[in-house]
Order: sequence, then C-alpha cells, then structure tokens
Amino acid sequence: MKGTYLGEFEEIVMLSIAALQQEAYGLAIKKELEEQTGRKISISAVHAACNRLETKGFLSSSFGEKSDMRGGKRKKIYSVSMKGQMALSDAYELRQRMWERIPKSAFQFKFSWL
Amino acid sequence: MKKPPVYHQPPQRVLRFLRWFCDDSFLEEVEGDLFEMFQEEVETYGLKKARHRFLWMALRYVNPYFFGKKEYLKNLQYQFIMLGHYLKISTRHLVKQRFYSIINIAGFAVGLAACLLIILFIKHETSYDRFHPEADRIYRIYWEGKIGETERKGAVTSTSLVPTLTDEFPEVEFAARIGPNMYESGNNQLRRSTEVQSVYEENFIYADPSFLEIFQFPMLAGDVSSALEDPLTMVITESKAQQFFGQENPIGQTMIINENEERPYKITGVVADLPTRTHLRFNYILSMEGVRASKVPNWGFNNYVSYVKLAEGATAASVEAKFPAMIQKHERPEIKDRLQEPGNYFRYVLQPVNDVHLKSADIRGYWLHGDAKYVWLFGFIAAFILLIASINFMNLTTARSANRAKEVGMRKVLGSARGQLFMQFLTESVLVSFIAFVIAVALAAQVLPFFNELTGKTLVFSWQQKALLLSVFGAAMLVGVLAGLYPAAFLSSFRPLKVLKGKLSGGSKRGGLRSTLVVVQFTTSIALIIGSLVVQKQIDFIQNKKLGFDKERLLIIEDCYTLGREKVTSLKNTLKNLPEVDNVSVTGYIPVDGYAYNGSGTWVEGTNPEESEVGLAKWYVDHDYVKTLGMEIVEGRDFSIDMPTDSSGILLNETAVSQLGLEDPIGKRVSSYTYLDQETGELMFDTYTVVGVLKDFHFSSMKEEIDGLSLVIGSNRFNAMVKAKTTDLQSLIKKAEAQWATFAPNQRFRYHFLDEQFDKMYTFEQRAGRIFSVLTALAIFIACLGLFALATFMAEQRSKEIGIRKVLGATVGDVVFMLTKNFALLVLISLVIATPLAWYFMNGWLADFAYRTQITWGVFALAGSSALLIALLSIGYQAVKAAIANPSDAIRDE
Repeated sequence: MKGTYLGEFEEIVMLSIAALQQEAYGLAIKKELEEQTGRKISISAVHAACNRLETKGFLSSSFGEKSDMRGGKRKKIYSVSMKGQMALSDAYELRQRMWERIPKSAFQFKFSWL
Repeated sequence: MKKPPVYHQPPQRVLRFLRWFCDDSFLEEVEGDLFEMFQEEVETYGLKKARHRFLWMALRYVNPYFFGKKEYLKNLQYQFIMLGHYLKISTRHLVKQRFYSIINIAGFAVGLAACLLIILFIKHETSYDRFHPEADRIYRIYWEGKIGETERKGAVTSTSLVPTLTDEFPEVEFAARIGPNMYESGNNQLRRSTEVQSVYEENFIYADPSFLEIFQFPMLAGDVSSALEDPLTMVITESKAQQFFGQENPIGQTMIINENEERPYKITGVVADLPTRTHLRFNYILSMEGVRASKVPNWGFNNYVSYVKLAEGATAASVEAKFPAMIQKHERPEIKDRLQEPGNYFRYVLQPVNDVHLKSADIRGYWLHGDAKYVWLFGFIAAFILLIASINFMNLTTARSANRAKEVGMRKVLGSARGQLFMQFLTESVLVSFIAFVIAVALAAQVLPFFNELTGKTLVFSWQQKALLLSVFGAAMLVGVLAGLYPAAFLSSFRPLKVLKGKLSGGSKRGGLRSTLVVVQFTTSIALIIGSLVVQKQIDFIQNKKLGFDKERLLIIEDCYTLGREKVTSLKNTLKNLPEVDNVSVTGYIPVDGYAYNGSGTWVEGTNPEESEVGLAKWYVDHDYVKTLGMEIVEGRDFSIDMPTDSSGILLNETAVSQLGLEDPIGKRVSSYTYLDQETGELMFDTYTVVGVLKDFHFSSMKEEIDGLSLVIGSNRFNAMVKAKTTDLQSLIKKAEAQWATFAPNQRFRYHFLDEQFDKMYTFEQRAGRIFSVLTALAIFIACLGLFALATFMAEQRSKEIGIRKVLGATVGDVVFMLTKNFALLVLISLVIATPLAWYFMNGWLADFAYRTQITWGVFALAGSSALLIALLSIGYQAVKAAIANPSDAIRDE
C-alpha cells in the first residue's frame, strides 16, 4: 500500500498530465494546474514533483523536438505509466469509498445549520 | 517572407548559476521551460521585471533535490548546516550572557548610529552645487591680494570683470554677475500691481541674463536665454509664483517693489525652487539690465559676485594664466602701481562652484557658507566614536575568553577542528555586529529629527541611500570580523588536555593589550571633553566680551524706508516721546556682522588718494546714533543737531584714526568716496571735518579684528533703533506697534532685538559647539559602558581572590582600592597623553578668532577630573559590590 500513496499535489499533477496527453510538459502542466486550481504554482515545484513521480515509476517521459522557442532545448513530455494509472484509480476509489461511508444526515445537518 | 521571431535572452549569469548547481539530468527540461516562460513574462511584465522574476524562479531550484550527485554542493550544504549550528550556539551564548551582550550591542549600536548620522551630514555638506548640469565647468571668481599690511580674499568683484571676460576670453562660454546686495536686492516689500497690500519678501538678487544659462535652473515657464534680457523684468521661483498667483499664469504679470510704482517689474520666467544643497539663495531674480551702474565700465565699483562657465575642454588654469595680463591692461592704477612694491600681489582665482559652500570661510562675500574644517572635525569624531565602540567590543570578547576555555577543550575532544572553532567565534562577533547594525539603523532613523535640529539641516534618511547603508554595513561587518579575529585565533589554539586539567585559567592575565585599548579610549574621550570645554569657553567669551556699545534693550523696527522721509521723522519723534523710550535713531547701519564690508576709500584731504587711501566702513547715521547705542567718545564730541556744520562732519573710530595716520584728529579734514556717477562712471567724493573720535567697538564678528570705521550724517532710513528705558519690553513693543499702525496701516509691523541679531552671528559656532558636546557625551557614554562591563568581569574573575583576602583580614576599603587603582592609573595616563594633543588642536581652532579666550590649566584639570570621576563611578559600583560580598559565598565551592 505504501508504494502507491499519492500526495494531493502529486495527484493533481498526474491528473493534469493525463488530461494534457501529448502536450504534458512542465510549463503546460503548470498553466493547467493554475487554471484549474486558481492557485499560483511555481515551476520548480512542478519539476520537482514530476521528476519524483518518474523515479517512483508513476510517470514515464520522452523528449520532443528541439525548438528555438525554448532556447534550443527539448520538451520533456510526461505520460502516466501503468503503475501511475493504478495509483490514481486507487486514490479515486479510496475517496469514493470513504464518501459513501458518510451518512447523508451528517452533511445535511451542517448545511442547514450554515 | 515572414521574419523569424526574435527571442529575448534571459540573464546569462543566472543561467550559468543554474547550470552550476542544478544536476545535468534536470537541466534540459528546466532550462527549456524557464526560457519559454521568460518569453511570455517579457510580454506581460516588460524586460526589466521579467529578468528579475527569472532570477527568483531560478533561485527556487536551490534545493538538495535538484543538486543531484554534485559533491561540491553536498559540501556546501554541510557548510550551511554548520553555519546554522554556529548561529544557534552564538545566539544561546549571547542570551546566556545577557549583561555583556547588551552592553556590547548597545555600545556598538550607538557608535554606529552616530557614525551613520555624521556620514549623512558630511555627504550633505560635500554635495553642494553638484546637481547643476555641467557643474564641473562652472566657477565663481574671487580675488586674493596683499596690498600693504592687509592680506585678503573676497568674492565681491567689480562691474567690469564679467564684461571683460566675455569680450576677451574665448575660453569663457558664459559669464554673469549677480548683485545680492545692491539697490532692490536683499529683502523687500512686494505686491502685485493689482493689489494694495504689500508683503515682506526675502532674497531678491540682480542677475545678468546669462546667469540662467550658466546654472540651467529648470524653467517651468519663460525662456532661458531671453528671460532677463530686458530691464525691469524678473524671474521668480515656483513656490513664489504659487503664493502670488495660484492657478493664474504668472508670465506677463507686473509686481511693485517697495511701493515704487515708477519701476514695475514684469515677470518673464518661473524657475523650479532651489534645492537646499546650493550656496545660491534667491526667490526673485531681477534683471541686471535695469541697473544703470552695471552698464558703466568700472574696476573699482565692487558689488557683484561673478560666475563663469568655461567652454568644453578649457581648463581653469589656462584662464587664470591670462589674468595677470588682464590686470595689467585694465585694473585701476592704484592697484597696479602698488603691485610694483615688493610683497604685494593681487590675482583672480576661479573657484569650482561645488567648492563655494565649504571652502569660503576666509573669503569675504555675501551669504553664509559652511566650513570644511567642521566637516573634517565631525568626520574625525565619528571615526573616534566608532573606534571607542570597537574597542569595547574587542576588550569584552578577549576578556571573557577565559571562561570559554573549558568549552573549547570539550569541543576539541569531541572532534572539532580548529577551523570550525575559529568560525564559531567569528560568527559570534559578526552576529553581534550585525544585530548592532540593525539597531543602529533604526536608532539613526529615530533620532534624525533631533539631529536635524542640532545641525540646522534638513537631512533625509531612506532606504534609497544604498551606498551609505552598504558602507556602514561594511564597516560594521569589518569591525565584527576584526574584533572577532583575535579571540577566535587565541581561543581556538587552546590545547584541550591543558585546558581540561585547568592549567589555563586566566584570560584576565593577558591584560596588556586590554590596558592599551582602554588608554586609547580614554585619551580620545578626554581630548573630546577638553575640546568641547574650550569651544564652550570661547562662545561664552564672545557673548560676554565688552563690545564697546550696549546691545541690550534695543528694539529694531524694520522697513522704515517704506514710510518716506517725513513720516519716518514723525515716527521717530513720536517714539522718542514715549515714556518707555530712552532714545531713537534711524539708520540701516547696525553694528553686527554684514554691514562692515562697505569699505569706502578714505584719505586725508590734500594727499594723493592713490597712495594714502585706506578702506573704511562708512555708515550713514543720524544725530542720535552714538547716544542710542551708548558708544563712547574718547576725543572731541558727538554729532549735535545744534551744529549745522555737522552735516559735513565725520566721526572716526580709533582704528580709523591710526590707519589714516592722523596725529591730532579733531578738526582735520578727510575725503571719502560717496557714489558712482552713472553718466560718467566717475566715483564722486565728499570731504568731511573730523568732529570726534569713537572708542573702538566690535561691529562685526569676533573672528575679525576691529576695522576702521567712519560715521557721517546721512539719510539712511532703513530701520529705527529704539533704546528702551524699561525692562518691560512687551509693553514697548505694543506701543511701538500701535504707533506704526497709524503711520502704515497696510503694513505689518516687523521688529527684532539687537541682542538676538547679535547672537545669530554666532549660530554657526554655537551649533558646532552643541554638536561637539553631544558627540563627546556619546563617546564618554560608550567608553564608560565598556569600562563598566570590564570592571564587572574583573570583579567576577577575582571573586575567589577577594574572598581569601577578606578572610585574611582585608577591609572593604582595601579591596575597593585594589580593584580601582589600575583603572584610575590608566585614566591618568590617558590624561597625560590627551592634554598636549587637545591643546594643539584647540589652539588651531582658536586661531580663527581675532579675539579669543585662553586655554587655561583649569580646562585640563576639569576634563581630567571629570573623566576620572566618571571612570571611578562606573568601576566603583562593581568594586564595592565585590568588596562587601560575603567571602564564604565566593570560596565555599571547590
């Protein structure tokens, strides 16, 4: 179980990589995350997260073409690996299970009180 | 064809830094993304901000994760961890030894704050007139010369100098005269031609049209080259335009000066307000074209200050080299002839405009300037204060080192390298100096208003002054490192075995260096005490010296000239009849600094003026002048209203009599110049009969010898001087004001007292004296703080010894004597060193004054005994505390 644990940030990074498909490289991930969450996200945090996830085997990567737009550097494009997909669906299922365990009245009470 | 897009280059240095620390496996991705992001940021934020943000983004990669396998970075990382450790230990140590830390930091912070403020002051004083565009090409011309006995420098030059320079010197791009003290310059009543009520306004000057081109003041309206071209035009400053016209356009409006409707001035320009850092003072510039005297060539009519702007590439030396020829060609024969005599000389000097403020102390002229000597003096004191504070720091650190010997031994046993221990102690002292620096900056910002009041400046202190803050920060760090260096080297050299066995116990034994430093501290403090005592003594001397006239209870009513001749006379008579009034005299000549300079050529009738002429101050007064001011007649008599011939009579002072070489002066006839005929350019003169000789009195600053003076009857109606009978001056003012209102209902009643004006002559010295005293107090405070801490430490160190001595029968007195005698000896040595030093420097300062106090032995005795007393007080508390402690507390353990 320990091997597949995902932090919140890691999880949304992987989700955005999955959503971006062929365009999932650092800057695009950062923009996607900012758009979806509304938070300011630093590019270094994205890079650190992606590389860590890659070492853990949740992500795989390949390099794109060199481009002048990037000062002659290639894009590192990520994709979610098999293991990563499993980890994501594990996390999703976990949440779903836990949501289902919540009696309806628990939240209703809270909402009506608010 | 489409042009390939051009990409913005991110800062290369940041990139290189990134490549240095970031592991290669990340670089391709990181660099690429950053580059792409940079392109977008340039679009949104602009190049400059984007470059800034780029650096910040790169810095966020400084993280062990991105270092990868780089060995050197791992080491660096360990260094950082060690630094954190050093800081932690240092903080613990400082907190544990609160008493010493506070004294150390407080003393150093006060010293640094004083330094910071003084540097601020010095920077302000030395930055005068640097802001003019092309200031390095602007010069003021002054002359220096020795004709006969007197050797002088003056910034007041003749009518013809500037026109000659313009015509004959190709090196001179522009030359201009200003007249700060003639006709309508100075202070005036002023109003718009459309209004009735005048207001009193200050700082009018006349200036040639090219004055504006030399200084290139920012013009808000009007044209630089033509604004002053026509007679009766004026240029005013922005705030004055605001004051008189508000939102209206001031250009083309007319102004009336001193109710003189025949000479209305048209406003042709508005300049920005002058910054405070210039020697120039004006609110209104009147066109020189309206002054007829300025058009008549004359080398003897000295009323102007001359400025030149040299052409690009021309040097001041090349212009000055051509001056002797110019003097030979144009100067007055009386100067030229006397230049033939051996020892005599006369030359013009170009003074760079930014030197005018500080380097004019010995040049006679208008406007009050600063004095480079004081700037130097304060600079020295600042350095001394810093020195005293640093010495505290070093003394305390080394003295306390012994207590840490065991700590060092233990650390070494546990594996500390010497370098690490060295760094530990260095970190400690740098930390202290850093804290002190932060406190000093806050302190300086807090006391700045007080300091401004003290110096009479309007200094500002802000984060913008990076250079200043950095230099003080650098100084603080340097002192931190230097002060830490010795204890660090000394402590880290301990042999662990010896220390742990308790062999090395006495850091207090190595007292030689410490004693020397204490002597340096106290020598400086005592010298400063002597200095401020002498300054105070001189100021008292000046203010209490018999002047030769009575300056007390003299009310001076200003602006009387605006009333016109008849009204002034009736005002005088009305005032005279008030019961509170002793006497009234109407004249503009007041015997304080500033009126003495109107040197007027005077000679004994019948002799050749070119040979026998001497320059005497010539004051136009009325019949009551001598009586009102309480001057003493030593020979002959005062002017008398009953003697009609007195209208061509003259009173001379004793100096004037001897300067003219008169044996038996009464009844002799002397001639002196009166005015310049504007048609012919000829200087006119009158001849007078000497009716009396005045006892010499001080009519200018005590810095000057009493000069020759002559009084003649004239119609100068500038002020009315009212000598009061009563001491109830308030009721006198009320009555005088009521009288004034009947004569000039539309005008404000302006007055001052002569003794106040007299005191103002010495504001500069008084101010310097006050700054001196405050700095001295600070220096002594810091020195005593150090001594106090040192004494505390000594008492602590010797507590066992004291305990044993007491057990063996020593009295409290014995112990106190033992603890204080060494320090007292050090203070006495300091006194011996400080005395000749202070004597030498203060004699130099006093030499500036023609009339000066003596430095007596009392001054040294007072300084020495007060230093000794202060030192004993700071030690005494600790000594007594140690001496009355119960010996069993000290020796029971072990």
